[in-house]
Amino acid sequence: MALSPGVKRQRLKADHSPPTSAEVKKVWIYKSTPPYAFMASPTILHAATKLVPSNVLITVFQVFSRVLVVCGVLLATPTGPTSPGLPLALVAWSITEVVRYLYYALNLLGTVPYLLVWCRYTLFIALYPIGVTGELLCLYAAQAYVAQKKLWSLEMPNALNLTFSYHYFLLFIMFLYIPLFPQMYLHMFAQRRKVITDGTSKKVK
Amino acid sequence: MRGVKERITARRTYGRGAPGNCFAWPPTATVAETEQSGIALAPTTSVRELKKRVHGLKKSLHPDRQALRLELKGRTLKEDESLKSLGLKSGSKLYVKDLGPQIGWKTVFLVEYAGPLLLYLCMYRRPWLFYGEGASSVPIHHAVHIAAGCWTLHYAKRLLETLFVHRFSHATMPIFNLFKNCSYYWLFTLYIAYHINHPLFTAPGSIQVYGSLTAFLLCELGNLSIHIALRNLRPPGTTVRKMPVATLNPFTSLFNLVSCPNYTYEFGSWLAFSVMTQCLPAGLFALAGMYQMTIWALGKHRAYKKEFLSYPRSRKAIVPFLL
Repeated sequence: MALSPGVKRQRLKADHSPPTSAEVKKVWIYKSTPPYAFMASPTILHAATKLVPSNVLITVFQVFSRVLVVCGVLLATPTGPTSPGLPLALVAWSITEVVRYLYYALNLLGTVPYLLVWCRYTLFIALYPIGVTGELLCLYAAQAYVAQKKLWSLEMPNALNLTFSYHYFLLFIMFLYIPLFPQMYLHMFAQRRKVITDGTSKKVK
Repeated sequence: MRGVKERITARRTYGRGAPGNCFAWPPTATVAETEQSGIALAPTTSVRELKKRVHGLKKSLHPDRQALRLELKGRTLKEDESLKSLGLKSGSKLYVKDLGPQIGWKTVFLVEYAGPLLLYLCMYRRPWLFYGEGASSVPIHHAVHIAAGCWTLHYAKRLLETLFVHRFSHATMPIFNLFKNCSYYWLFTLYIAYHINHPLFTAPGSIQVYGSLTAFLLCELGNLSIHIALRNLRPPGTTVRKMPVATLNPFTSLFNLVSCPNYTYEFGSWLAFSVMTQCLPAGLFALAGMYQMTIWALGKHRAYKKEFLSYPRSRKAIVPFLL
């Protein structure tokens, strides 16, 4: 019973029982993801300076959505990390990022084995939808809490006559996935067609 | 030379969407199929005439949808260029790009400006859908009435200019632009109008309100003056190209400092409106517009300098002395 997910157990004095899995998740997230979130931002710079062959706008969207999910959902709310979307997203992100950065590194050295090129341009077919599903589930789990607590929201009256509803913002982000995901997904397929033709790989510009 | 005809092979390529925009909708697609056909022409045939002939061969390719090029990735040929001026001979290759479904510029402008006019006035009445029941009976500060007046004036002016002042150099634009432009204007209108007409809106002091109102009205007049001056640069029916200069209207003296004073005045109007209402959403709209207008102004400035060799060096693009 020690590792039932999502259950916060009552801690008694001198209780040295192992932490629940929800607590483990939370600690792990706090420790590892802020560095991750900040380390992801240079990715945009690398794309902008053409150090790596990636489209700048697409990279911006990817980094932004990751940082939003990590900081704005997983860290900010207690309901976000308990969503089944978390393991989905983490698995998808991890595999994708390992392949991607290995590809970038070897690309700079000029020798990328075909297997790696194949991985970069094929694994996304499954991983991208899985990752997006995970992100959306986390967003959904967070928005109810945000609505109730009015987290990070601003109401009138105030000096700048401004309102901000973080709840509506999250719903808007979830809505944006509808037009943006097909475009990003199809863009990846177009890239795949350019790079992988008949079992051989062409040099990426 | 009467009776001389030349045959030109037209090779059709199919591609759609605005160049350089990876988020163009419909998604850009490259060459899907090519076809060859012969059309008989004379050396003085214009590009405009050529497009009509191509349309005759393929009904779906309305002349406004065609962009003709000499090279696959070359520049689009202008309508009044002739085959002779382009050096096209018998057997020359020409590329035809399908620009996708088009819509008239005037139509787009009328629709995208009518939205803000109507939507703001709807929000002005404080509908229960946005503000809950009873909101419309909460007293309205006079600054809110002034803001509604300014907004109405601005967009009514834009609609009238579209109908009577502006001369559009292109006839059409891709139909996707209608959705893109309307989204920008209409959504921003709702965003701004929601806050200003809110029952909990707090107006700034009278000096701020009336001072910015004055600035707003002056900038509107300035913007109108520039639009009229630009229209008068080219007499109707001619193709003269003249450098814009200050006229007798004192508002046009801003031409001495910038290439695109209409954009300068436009930003001035919105800045004044934002200060008048002390509303950050309005300020965001002013900044967004300024960003886009700056891009346009820099392009126009570059084009003017290239075209007019005696272009004044001291002129900037949009912000006097700075940008």
